Amino acid sequence: MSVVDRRGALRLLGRVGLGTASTPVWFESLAALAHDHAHALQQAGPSAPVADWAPKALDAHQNEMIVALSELIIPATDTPGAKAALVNRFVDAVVDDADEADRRSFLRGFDWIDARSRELFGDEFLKASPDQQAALLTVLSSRKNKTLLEDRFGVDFFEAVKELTVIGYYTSEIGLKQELHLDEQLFFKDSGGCTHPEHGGTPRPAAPAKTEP
Amino acid sequence: MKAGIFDAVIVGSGASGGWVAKQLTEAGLRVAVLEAGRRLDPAVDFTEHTLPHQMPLRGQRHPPRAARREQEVQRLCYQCDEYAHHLFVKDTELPYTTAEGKPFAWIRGRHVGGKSITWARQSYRLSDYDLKAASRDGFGADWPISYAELAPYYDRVESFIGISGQAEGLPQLPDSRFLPPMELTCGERLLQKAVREKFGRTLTIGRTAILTRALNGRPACHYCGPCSRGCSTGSYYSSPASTLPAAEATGRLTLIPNAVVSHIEVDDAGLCRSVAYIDRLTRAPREAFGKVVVLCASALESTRIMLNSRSDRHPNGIANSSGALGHYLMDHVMGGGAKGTLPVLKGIPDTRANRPNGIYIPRFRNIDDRHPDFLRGYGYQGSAREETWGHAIRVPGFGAAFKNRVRERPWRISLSGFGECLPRFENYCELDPQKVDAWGIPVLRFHAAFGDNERKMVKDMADGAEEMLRAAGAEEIERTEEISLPGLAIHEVGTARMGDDAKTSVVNRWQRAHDVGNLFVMDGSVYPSSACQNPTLTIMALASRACDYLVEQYRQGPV
Repeated sequence: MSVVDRRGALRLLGRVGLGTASTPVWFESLAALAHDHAHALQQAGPSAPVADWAPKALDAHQNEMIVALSELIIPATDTPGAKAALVNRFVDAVVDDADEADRRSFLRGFDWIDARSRELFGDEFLKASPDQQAALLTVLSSRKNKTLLEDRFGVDFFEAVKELTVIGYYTSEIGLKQELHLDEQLFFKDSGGCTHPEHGGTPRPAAPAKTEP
Repeated sequence: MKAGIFDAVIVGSGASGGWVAKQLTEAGLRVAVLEAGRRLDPAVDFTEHTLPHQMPLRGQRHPPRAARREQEVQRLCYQCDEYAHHLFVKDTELPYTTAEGKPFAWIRGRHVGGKSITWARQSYRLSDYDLKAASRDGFGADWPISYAELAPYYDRVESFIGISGQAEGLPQLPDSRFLPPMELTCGERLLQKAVREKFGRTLTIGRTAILTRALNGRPACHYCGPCSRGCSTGSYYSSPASTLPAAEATGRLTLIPNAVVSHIEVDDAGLCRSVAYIDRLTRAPREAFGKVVVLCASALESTRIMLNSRSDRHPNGIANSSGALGHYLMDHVMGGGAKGTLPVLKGIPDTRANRPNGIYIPRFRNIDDRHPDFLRGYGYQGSAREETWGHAIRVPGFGAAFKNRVRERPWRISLSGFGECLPRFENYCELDPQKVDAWGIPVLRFHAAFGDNERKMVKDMADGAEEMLRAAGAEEIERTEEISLPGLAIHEVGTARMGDDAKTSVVNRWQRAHDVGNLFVMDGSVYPSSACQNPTLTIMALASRACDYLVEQYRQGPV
């Protein structure tokens, strides 16, 4: 039986994903965009607080699981975590947009996690203790465990959830401003660059000056 | 002038069509520009200032589902994402076919401005190492013109559109008339030093058609970053921000959007009489009459129009008595490179703003020596920069420790090659005998594949990138060595090559069809060989030179 639908999981990843590429150029640039623009452009994207939001692709249980899983991956610390950044809404939007086969293979992951949790802890994932949840994710977050046939699907699923969480969190308004602090400058006067003679650069003010649009 | 007859009908409004419109109208000609697509509205169509969290899917790398189904090929282009997929055609409307086992990616944009809206803006001059390559190594055909003949036209184009860069004095990559260069990052400086000291090679900041200071009424770049989604300030060269307004200002330009050109009609003497097109919105067939026709529709579309212009006088397509039309199709070969991290810069912040530009290592193969494995050469493009969060998925684990580790931002460095593709007769396109597009126009069928020379070059690109990164102190180096799909460099050139011999080429040294005195081709289709530099700047310089000739002929009497 082909529970190992890595291809499908990765296809879903690839659609939003970073793959092996480095930071997308669009983020590099947008990272600098500040709230003055955000105010003007604020629209009801999935991360905007909408009181009557309901998931489209996930059922209520799956949505709760994504809330929990994403917060386990990026918890609130000195900055807010994935739950506050509404990463679940982003995951729902991506899964809703996915091609049918990819969506189905991704959604099977929730059942897999619950089944494994029952096997190990006698109850579904959301009812397991925090320690038990962390223990299961520790197994799944190690790529080494892909060699254990029984966990391969779970490892792939966790990788997909992690990647979606990473993208959903760091591209959210919370991620951009509170975690990455990339909201101070919108436009720049010059391209910036190396100022260190020891690297071969020219000394000058370290940060490119702010300028009006 | 006879009523309703333009002095020139230009097909295409992109980088070259815009330039040709400007130069011809400024010389006094009344010109029509036929553009297959719509006019863009920067307020709606340009999304470079939109934040990811303002997009339903955070600007994901592919179009949303409904559009995805219509853009199976276009989505292969890295820029055809959630933000910008509307700047690419629908493959379902504009299909094409490929020979068995020979995939080809044809990436297109149909709107006023064409691909000058989405281009990567890298701009490099060719040299006689490129134009006279056949004389040096015996493969293919020389260009019928030399660098000395082309240089003044580079000057002219650069002075108007603006190219920023650093003069290096290299014979194989002549300097442009530069605006001030953008700056290198710390990692790029380290690589520059290593490459110079250990290999004797040059690393320079990308030469790019982006204004680093105001020019000709256009403001300097404000470094917001994602140029590929349009530029509301017009700070990089696109025809709607630069050359088309100049043409419009003469009062002699008639820009006709939504004009899907199917073919050229000829008179009894076999000369161009009109350009036949279909109104994209009403589907009514129409004609634009011109004393001269100038094709600037992009290499493959121009060739398609010529192949589809069959008449008693031109049974195999117009300007095709040589049988060369459609042949010698080329696209730059990519796929060889390497990337890694620079631990030596750990903790040193990247003070680079959102520089929409990278680095360039000019060609160094087959310049002074002869490589044992392949002809011609390649240049590298790349960058070194501190990541913001793109590395997070490679950080193991989860939880607070994971989140903290993501805050340690590694420096990433990468190089990828763009290589010359040899011109081969057997790489060609023709009209598909059966299939037509949404407007009933026969589509192209491609027979194109990279050969042994390109494969060997890709291996050398990977080897070279790896050793240079290593020399700069990079670690965790990953090689890439997978030859690209032809077409995906979006540097497709050839198929209507220029030459002095009417038996083996389509247009002459002035880009005038050998067979048809009032037909000119002024886009990348005229390339006799591909060189390894990004082609747009050269296409425009060639067009400027051809326009001088056209205007001179026009003044002397009927063209």
